[in-house]
Amino acid sequence: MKQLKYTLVLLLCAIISSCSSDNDATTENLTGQKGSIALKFDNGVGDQNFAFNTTYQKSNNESFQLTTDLKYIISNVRFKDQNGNEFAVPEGNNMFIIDQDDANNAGEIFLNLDNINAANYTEITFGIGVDQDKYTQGATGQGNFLTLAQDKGMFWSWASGYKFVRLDGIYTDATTTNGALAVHMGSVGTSLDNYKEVTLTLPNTVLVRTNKSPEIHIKADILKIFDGETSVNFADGYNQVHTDATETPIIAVNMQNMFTVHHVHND
Amino acid sequence: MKYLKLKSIVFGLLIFNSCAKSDQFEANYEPIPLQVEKPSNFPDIEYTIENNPVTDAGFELGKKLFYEGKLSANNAIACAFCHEQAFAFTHHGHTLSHGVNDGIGFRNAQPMQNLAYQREFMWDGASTHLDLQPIIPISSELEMGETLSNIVAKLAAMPQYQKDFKRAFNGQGVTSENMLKALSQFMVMMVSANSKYDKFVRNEDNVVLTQIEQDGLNSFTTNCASCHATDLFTDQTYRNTGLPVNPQLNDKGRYNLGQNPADLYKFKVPSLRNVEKSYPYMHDGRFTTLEAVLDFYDSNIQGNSGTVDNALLRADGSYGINLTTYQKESIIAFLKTLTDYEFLEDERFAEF
Amino acid sequence: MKDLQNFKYTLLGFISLMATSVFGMHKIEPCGHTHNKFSPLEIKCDLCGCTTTSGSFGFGTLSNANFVGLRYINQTFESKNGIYSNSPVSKETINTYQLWAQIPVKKVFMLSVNLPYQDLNREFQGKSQQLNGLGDASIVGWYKHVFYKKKTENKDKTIDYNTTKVATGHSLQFGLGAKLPTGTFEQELSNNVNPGFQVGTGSLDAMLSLGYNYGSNKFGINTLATYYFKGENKNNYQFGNQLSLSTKAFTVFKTSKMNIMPFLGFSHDTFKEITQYNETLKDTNGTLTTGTIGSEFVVKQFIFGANYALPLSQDLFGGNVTSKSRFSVYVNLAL
Repeated sequence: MKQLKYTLVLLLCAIISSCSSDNDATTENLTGQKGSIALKFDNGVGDQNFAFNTTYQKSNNESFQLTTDLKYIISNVRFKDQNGNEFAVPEGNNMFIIDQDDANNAGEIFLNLDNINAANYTEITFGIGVDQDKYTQGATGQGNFLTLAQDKGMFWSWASGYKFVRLDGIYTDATTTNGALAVHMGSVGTSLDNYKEVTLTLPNTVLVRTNKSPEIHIKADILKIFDGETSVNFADGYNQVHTDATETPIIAVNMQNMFTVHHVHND
Repeated sequence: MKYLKLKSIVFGLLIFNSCAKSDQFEANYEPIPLQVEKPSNFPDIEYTIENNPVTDAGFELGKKLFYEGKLSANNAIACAFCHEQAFAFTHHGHTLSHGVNDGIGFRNAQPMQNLAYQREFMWDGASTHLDLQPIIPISSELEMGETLSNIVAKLAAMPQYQKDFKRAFNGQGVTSENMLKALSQFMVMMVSANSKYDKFVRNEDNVVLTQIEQDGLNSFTTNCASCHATDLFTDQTYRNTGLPVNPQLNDKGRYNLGQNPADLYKFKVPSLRNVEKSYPYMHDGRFTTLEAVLDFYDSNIQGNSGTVDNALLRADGSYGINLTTYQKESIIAFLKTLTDYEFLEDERFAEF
Repeated sequence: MKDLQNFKYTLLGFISLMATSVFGMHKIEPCGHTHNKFSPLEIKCDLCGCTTTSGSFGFGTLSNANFVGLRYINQTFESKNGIYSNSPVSKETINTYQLWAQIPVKKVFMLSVNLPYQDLNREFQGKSQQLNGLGDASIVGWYKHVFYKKKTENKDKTIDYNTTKVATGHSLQFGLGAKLPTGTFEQELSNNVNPGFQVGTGSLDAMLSLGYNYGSNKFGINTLATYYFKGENKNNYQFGNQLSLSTKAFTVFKTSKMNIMPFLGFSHDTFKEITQYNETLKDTNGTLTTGTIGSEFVVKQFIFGANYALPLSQDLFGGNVTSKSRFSVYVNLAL
């Protein structure tokens, strides 16, 4: 009977303690620690997973299908921690091409960032494309990115500048069926600057530590490139977007709003 | 004979050591900085030299690359193929240039001089940084038809280039960034500022202009210098000079960048230095002689569907610059004083 | 009998020891929804003393309400692998093999113990993933209050020497228990849409339970409400607290050889969101209502049971996880 009493009391204690909050309010010393964060870009169209050679509907009874390319450039990735401090991925390692061809079976494109200062991060900021500073520096600081960009067809061949996005496929509107679709919005030197930045709040704090491997799952809604801040129509010429000074900024702003952080994984 | 074994070992070690040392020598080579010439009659340098300081090793490598056919798909077309030094680095006598697979381009090869003082490059300003300009001819299917990664692979496979890159870039190897920087180091050194005109303007060597040359300078200053301004002889803007459009080429000029209708048929004002040697003239090389050019400006501007530049608009609504026969002759005489033989024969820029 | 008594105390002692040793770890936490739940039927069944063929089904003979047995539970789920509506789906099957027992301690106290072994299987795009190992063991201490008929005084005020109490058939039970982190929790697996696909939760959980039962010769009904306080594991990962409600109704058919007790029931579970590092993870809560049908067969010392449960309505993990079906079979030996 006594033992039973003890057991019950112990269990009761356990319950009570589990109900009380369990905060280890120890402030960690993180100086010098470095860790990594994996960004997972997940392209979709509306609430559908993206796949090549699949027809998607957009506004105004128009539809499109991407057949060969879905790529965009992400650069200047930086994070803000819960104290407002910002950490930027170092120059020279901070330009990436998110290429659907690089996606895994689940359609996720990984971007592994190493040597991130250990901290508790609450915000991520990145740029779409290449900023003007890079152009004024010429070849300096672009490292192997120039070669990578050219190989992936993200560099103009007749002007110096990057294609920030590359969508290639076919479209259908009221008058055309399976016409050629090519959206290659980018910057051209200093005369056309379409670089835009995106800041996203993380739904949960991301803890970067030496022994942890957090992931940030970023959802990219390709439909927003056409039906974003501004709805654009293929019938109005948006089936071919290259360096037009009117069309490209509209696409750039649309792209700025196509990213959200769907969720994060810690550990 | 006594210490033969010992001697040969020591000797062997010395050789071995010295060989090893020379490799070290390559890696530890301290490149000698070179100064980009800044003539007193020139405006400020535009190229950011701090990002890519010129050294002897970088310059030599850049020159080597300039003359290197491997930068093209068929390993035969180097930059120098269309940019020949004796002709102010233009393609001698060619209206348009041909490239790999006999492709014909659609624009006339421009002279390469004083590039450090230019903000933008190409006839339509498609390149805003000298480092990145070579990518355009390299990538063009009609010119060199190659990719940066292929070039890097080709060069990296050659031990001499590996050494050259290490010397020039502090131990770093063959990368596209370094290759472009080396080419830039070569190009920024190509300053042409020692023509008869320059020496006259700077009061050097007791150079004086002849009467007709002086008259030509005066006519030039009145009629041409609004666009061909400064001692670079270009204000680096883009102008529609009313050239009728060649239907075969249908080259829209600066309009191609941004599709701004105001840019239709605008091309960059070229520098007139060494113009005597850089024929044929205009963006598509349609005029073979300077006489033809001045005849065009005087009476042959037909216009096109773009807006011809206001500087060429006469009071009566027609386009052109009124030039008498003597004015044309004297301007041409003056333009010939812009030929810089020191530059055209400068061994530093020569292949051999 | 003496041995059995000793065994009881030894077992009690062992369990207390375990409970205190794991108390040093974090909080107590019962399982994620995939884990074995205490099927009230079993408890009720023993309480009603259906072990005897002569059987009266009330809460009469408590001292017979004990058993040791083996139970197999099969649960299937479908989880969406991906954030889009047409993301591919994986099929998850959880096979649980339990060694379970109910041991009376005193007249009104009992102890339920459960030691599971988990064998999990996930199929996704033609590939198969297997996971197995010891699951999370649990113990619950019960106090049962049986309602007896009031004694009516004899009209003539004579003392009634018949001291036998007659049960009304109603009873209440209170439970206090813990689920122990004996199974391994893998942080990586928690990154799946269904973080319940685990062998264990790595946490110490506590539970409080209240039940009401009624049993007569022919018919019985059991209701149970349990609240689980889930603890945080070493990955600072904490499943959300859970409220479990269930009710079952059964009848009895007697044959010469055995008693057959078919039953029908409903259960409803509500799960709060999962938190990690004290932050809530979105879309990790849920509700699930199921209907159960099954039967027990009592043959001599043996109790066989089988039941099948189908979800009637559910909303788990923001709709990304679907519970398909559950069935279980067990064979117990009355102690």
